[in-house]
Amino acid sequence: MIEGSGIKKVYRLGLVEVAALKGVTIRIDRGEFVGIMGPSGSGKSTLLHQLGLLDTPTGGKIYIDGMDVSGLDDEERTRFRLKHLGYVFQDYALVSELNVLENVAIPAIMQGKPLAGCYASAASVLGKVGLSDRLSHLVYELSGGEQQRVSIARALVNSPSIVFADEPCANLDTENSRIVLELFRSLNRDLGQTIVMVSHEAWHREYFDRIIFIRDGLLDEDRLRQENPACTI
Amino acid sequence: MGDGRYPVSLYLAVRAIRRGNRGTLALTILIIALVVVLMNFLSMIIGGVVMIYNQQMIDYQYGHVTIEPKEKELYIENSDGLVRSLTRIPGVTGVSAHLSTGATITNSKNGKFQTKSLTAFDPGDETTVTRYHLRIMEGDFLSKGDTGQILIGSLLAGNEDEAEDKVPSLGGVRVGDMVSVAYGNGEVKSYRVKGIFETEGVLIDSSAFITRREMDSVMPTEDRATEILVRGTSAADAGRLKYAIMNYGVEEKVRTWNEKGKGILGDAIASFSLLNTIMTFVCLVVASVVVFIVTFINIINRRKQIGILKAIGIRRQAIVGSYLLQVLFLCSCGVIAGILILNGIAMVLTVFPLRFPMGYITPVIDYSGILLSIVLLFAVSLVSGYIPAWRVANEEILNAMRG
Repeated sequence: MIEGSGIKKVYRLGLVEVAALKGVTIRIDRGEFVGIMGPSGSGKSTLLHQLGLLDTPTGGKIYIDGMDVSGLDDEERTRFRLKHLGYVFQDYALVSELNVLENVAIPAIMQGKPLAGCYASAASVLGKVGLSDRLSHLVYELSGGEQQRVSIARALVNSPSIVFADEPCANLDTENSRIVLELFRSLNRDLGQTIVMVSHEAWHREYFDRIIFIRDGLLDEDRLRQENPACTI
Repeated sequence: MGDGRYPVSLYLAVRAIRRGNRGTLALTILIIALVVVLMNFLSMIIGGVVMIYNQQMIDYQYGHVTIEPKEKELYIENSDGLVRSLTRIPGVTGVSAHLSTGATITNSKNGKFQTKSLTAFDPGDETTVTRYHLRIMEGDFLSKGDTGQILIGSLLAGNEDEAEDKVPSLGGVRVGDMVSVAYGNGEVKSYRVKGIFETEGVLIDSSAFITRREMDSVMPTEDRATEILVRGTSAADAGRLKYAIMNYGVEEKVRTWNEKGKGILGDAIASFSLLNTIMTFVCLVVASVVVFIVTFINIINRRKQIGILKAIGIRRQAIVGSYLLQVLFLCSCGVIAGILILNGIAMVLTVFPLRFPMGYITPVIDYSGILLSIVLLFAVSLVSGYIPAWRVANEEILNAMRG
């Protein structure tokens, strides 16, 4: 479970301060597939980065499975990300010098597991995303959709409690977007995987269990009530 | 190891090297190899100069140990007795007494003359200490009973065409020619040139020798010597031999070849060593800048990748470690290539030696010096690789991921 209370993020651009998040309080339960939506510049990705420990909030608290993660130092956050969180980025964010299998295996290797076991885990996850025949390919040899599936496999290899996806379909056509979204939905339904995904595509909402709307760095509560009548923030 | 930090460093480094740009890799290795060559080339030549200089000092000038007159005295008295005593000291393999005097040698054919130190010795004794008898280029070495005959160096003999001479000479003396020698006591005597020697050493090949018997006939030497050369079993043993001679009760000044030779070429060698140190420093700076630039460019190009690795939970120590391992690999390859090039140069210069005033120089590879330069090179390279890697690995993840 993720709980965020009063999350603020202020960016300093020279002398100018820009408040990207102005005090967001949210709760995401285990096993939910949550979409974070809102207009461009509303703070969706910023919120995801704070919840996913990729950035440090300027204010507020974040709890993951009851643990206050907002006070962790850089080293502890890195370790926490490795063990408990998975990430899928808009631009796939794969390591060009590693092949498909190695890209997926690297978080497992970092956990200190034996190499053969890491490769077996990676191959198994790649099988689930339909890339068993691409293990030894370098990433630039794959299509955008395939690269995003490698990215999803990498996010899952350490069996994280939460997967964060930052506009994973932004660079994909509709067909590949559907493949990725179906994959997320089956992971969520079949494995109970908690998924938090940022999107600005209206048609993606059919896949989410719940949607969090953001506007100008704050929760868009009117829209929330409208879209999720049963939801308590 | 348990947290996987080191295996991941190695894992990433191996793949970066294997799948990285081969041309950049080869060029960097070549630069490091050339740095290794530059750091060691001059000391290799200096080593060759020192070695030949030392050998010439031992073989032609001082033996392993030289005995000189006591303080404020011009001669070693009772030199024959001392020579006999010295030969009985364990470790002594040869002893030869020298009596040197100033003399003007004139070529009777053309009247050209040179003022030199003329040295007399017993030819039999001399062959046990020096190597002149092995370096006769024309004619013969002196024999014990020789009178009226002189042995001269090739540079003193010189050439008829002065332009071919390296130092002032007698203008082309050959074996069988007559030269006249004017001694300090006013005596002038003609000598037939019995042999001409050539050692390649400028100072040595400008000298002249006669027998002790001949010197006695011109000026009574009264059992005196200006120096006594002693040869032992090895150059390295000279110090022990010196103390053995001193313990034997010899009251004259006893000095090893090394102590005798320090003053003459010591300053030159010290200057060479200073140059070498400066060159080593410059090379280290060049190496560190090269490694810094290569690592920096490498890291800047992979800034986004470093951000990704950090985002998915790879520790920054592992990321920095992977770059340090790449630097270690580059340095190791560069060092191996550099040592191979150095050995190649040494082989070429052994076949085609460099000519110096003291003779032909073959390079001497100082492996302890190479080891030191390698250690320094690795140290500066690791520091130069570490700084940019650490800087980028410490960046905010999202900043790094923007590339």
